[in-house]
Amino acid sequence: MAVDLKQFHQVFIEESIEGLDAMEAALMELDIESIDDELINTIFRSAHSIKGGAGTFGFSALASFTHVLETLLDEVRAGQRDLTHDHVNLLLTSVDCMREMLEIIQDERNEYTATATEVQKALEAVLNAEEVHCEQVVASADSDAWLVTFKPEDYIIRTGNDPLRLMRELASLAQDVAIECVGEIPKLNALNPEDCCLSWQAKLTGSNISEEAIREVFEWVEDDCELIVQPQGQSGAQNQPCTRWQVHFAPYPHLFQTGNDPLRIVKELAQIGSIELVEINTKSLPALKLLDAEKCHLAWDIEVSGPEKKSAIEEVFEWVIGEGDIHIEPMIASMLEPQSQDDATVQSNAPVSIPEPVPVPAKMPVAEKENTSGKAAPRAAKKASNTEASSIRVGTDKIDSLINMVGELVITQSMLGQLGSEFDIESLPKLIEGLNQLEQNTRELQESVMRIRMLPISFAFSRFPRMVRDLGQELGKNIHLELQGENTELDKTVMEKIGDPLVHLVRNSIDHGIEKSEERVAAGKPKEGTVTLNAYHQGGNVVIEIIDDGRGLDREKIVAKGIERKLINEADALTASDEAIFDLIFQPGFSTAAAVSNLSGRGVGMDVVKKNIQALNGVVEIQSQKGKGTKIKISLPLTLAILDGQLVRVRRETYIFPLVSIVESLQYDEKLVNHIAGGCRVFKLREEYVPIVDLSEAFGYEKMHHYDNALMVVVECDGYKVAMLVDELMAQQQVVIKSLEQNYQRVEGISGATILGDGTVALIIDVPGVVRLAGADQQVIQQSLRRSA
Amino acid sequence: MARIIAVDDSASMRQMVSFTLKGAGHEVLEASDGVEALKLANQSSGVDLVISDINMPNMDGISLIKELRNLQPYKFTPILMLTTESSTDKKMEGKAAGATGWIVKPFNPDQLLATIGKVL
Repeated sequence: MAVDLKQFHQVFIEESIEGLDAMEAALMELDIESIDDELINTIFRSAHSIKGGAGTFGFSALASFTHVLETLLDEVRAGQRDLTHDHVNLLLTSVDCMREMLEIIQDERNEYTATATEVQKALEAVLNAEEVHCEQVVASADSDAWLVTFKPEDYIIRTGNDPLRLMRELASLAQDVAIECVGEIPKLNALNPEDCCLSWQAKLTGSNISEEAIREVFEWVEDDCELIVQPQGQSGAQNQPCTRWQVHFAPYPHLFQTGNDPLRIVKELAQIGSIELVEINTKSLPALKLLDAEKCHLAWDIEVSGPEKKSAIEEVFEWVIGEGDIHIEPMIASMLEPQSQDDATVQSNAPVSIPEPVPVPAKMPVAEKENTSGKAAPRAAKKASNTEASSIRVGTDKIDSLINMVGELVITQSMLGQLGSEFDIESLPKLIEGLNQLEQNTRELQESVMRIRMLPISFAFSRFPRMVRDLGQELGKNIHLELQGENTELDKTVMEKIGDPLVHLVRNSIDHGIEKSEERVAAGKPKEGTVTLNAYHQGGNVVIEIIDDGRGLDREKIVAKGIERKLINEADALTASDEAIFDLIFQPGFSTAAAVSNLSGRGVGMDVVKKNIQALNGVVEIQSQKGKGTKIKISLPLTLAILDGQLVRVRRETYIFPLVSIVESLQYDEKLVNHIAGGCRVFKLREEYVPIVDLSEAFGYEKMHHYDNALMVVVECDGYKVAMLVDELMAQQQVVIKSLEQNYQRVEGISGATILGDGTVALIIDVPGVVRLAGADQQVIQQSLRRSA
Repeated sequence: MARIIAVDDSASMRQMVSFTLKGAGHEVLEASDGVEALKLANQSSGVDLVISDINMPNMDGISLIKELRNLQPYKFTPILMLTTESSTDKKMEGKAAGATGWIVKPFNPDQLLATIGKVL
């Protein structure tokens, strides 16, 4: 079978990531005082599925890592082990490790990460802690062959021990084993089914089996049995290679109920060797009247030659062990006659034909396997290159509504088609109606397609419970995280890009906002601090709020720092609103944290946060009350495909400013303009000097001669204000963004284009790009501004 | 060509099993847990084989096997457990519930086909 397992890798990785998320969530919820079985089961199931998949798809590193984890979880699940806080932490770390390993797998590599090796050691240490004492190494004679006689007391079954299981365990020690069941079974009327009246004799052959290992098998029943373990020399037939076997198979009557078919087993036996003789024992076959067709009444004695290993034959009977009497004995060349048989054994002649070995299925797998390995490699290599594309999980209701929509579209299309083929002026109203319907279909289809990209914000929120918990532990703070509005939907791309800024803001809240417990109690607040993440729709925007009930922002401290960093002057500082002051913390290089922790306070971050949010055409604002807490509010557009724009005219062309970047618009006034060194003009906007950029010049038109009627759009760029000269302010409207890069090429100063209602193309201005294009380097301008001020 | 019900909560495993079996010319009905499988089993007729995972939400494989064995049409249908637990305990538990045999994960498509060849 040529199956390329690679095609399942992506699904495996995705479901494993989901499994890890579920595991993490369940671990977070886990209360170690009273363990919830369902939670443990969820955790176990996730680990279990990942292990199974990893093994199957050839990611052995992940499989063996998960195996250790699973073993630990299994013990917890079975109630054999108590969980401690340390264990939960270790399990959480394991989840991280597995995430890392999955990332590596994404690159088609199968290996351990450094941390994974360490974590696995830690897990193994936990597992072995209680088992070490078992590993007493006792020097004892090793031998290649043993004769073990096991004669249990009749009450052994009542001790909960199962001789069969013991024998099986014994058999697992050896490469080859011949077990003989001896003992007298009493008459039926004297038989007590709860008594064990059998004993066993096992001949083990294999390399280096220690007596200790054999005795360990019987450790629990040592006192309840007679056990003789004798080494055997290289005597007799035991070690002679044997290729002929005598198989006795007497299934219990209920065999058919397990779906096993003895004939099939015989057939299978025929595939591993050639069947010399099959005898059917019909002794227990009842009279026809009493015959229950659902029961198996036959037994078989089979001589098979070919297989060298007894295990090969045992494998054929693997599923029916315990479902009947199975004896497999080697036949030595000198005794080709079958061993003494029961008198009643009937030689089978015609009734049951011995199935011939079926050559086709037996050979095919091998032939095809070779075929596959030769073919699969180059194909796999080719495939690896295009599996990178990210995928999205979409609810079936969304898909259904899309299909529905397409169905309507097809109906409209066929209606219009029919109308067109036999059109006369009479049917004009019908045509208009049809076109209206088409328009409606198109709009609905567009909305449905947009909805596909929308995901609940819980995707972005899900990482926080863990993060808050870890941070709280690290900082010794008691923090409760509250998530609200998790079902609010947001565009997938926006979601991916908002993740990091959110992490930063939440970290800040925890590190700087929430006080230590003692401090909180002293301030009359509850001991446990609360951080709330809230999301909701407002107009065409999604609003995300990060609220903490910590110490709030300190206006004086920020003002002092702002003056020190020359971000604001003292006069402004007195009159400025709280919002304006708080906004200073988004300036590059601003940090008020007295000590730099490894979490935050390095002064990089908040400006990057704001930049990232602005890159998404979003707005961020801060409300804070000293001692009460801080609320950071991020407004994001629902999707990146649509932009709120301000249309402006520059000469005969229409350009679009993202509305969020505009601070204000005003009339150009020559009196307020200064020329500074470097040929740059600045405009005095209240107490601030703002550089002026002439858009027509920047875009390669002639320089404006008269600025008298010009308008200035003041925009914010990298935390500074810049005034852009335009000829006219036009409408504000939502525009659909088309990529220039995809349709044409990258153009400096332009972030994209859109098509207006009249069909003309309007370019969307990339504010920082235009500023660079105009040569209005902020650093230089600000320096010379400061000098002239 | 046989009609087979494949039950596994892991989509990748289910797809792999299903793809392999379909590739060998079988008809495959998929279910993601025991409850779904039982429903499917009740709705379908002429099922030749059931392959089921053990650890699943809602209804695990062992319970599924017990339930199936109680249904007249599945009294003798081969049911194979798909499990990573190679320990005898799980196998025995499965057998006690009426499983025919087991396939130990990890396995590759060839092994899967070889194993189901034992019962089909």
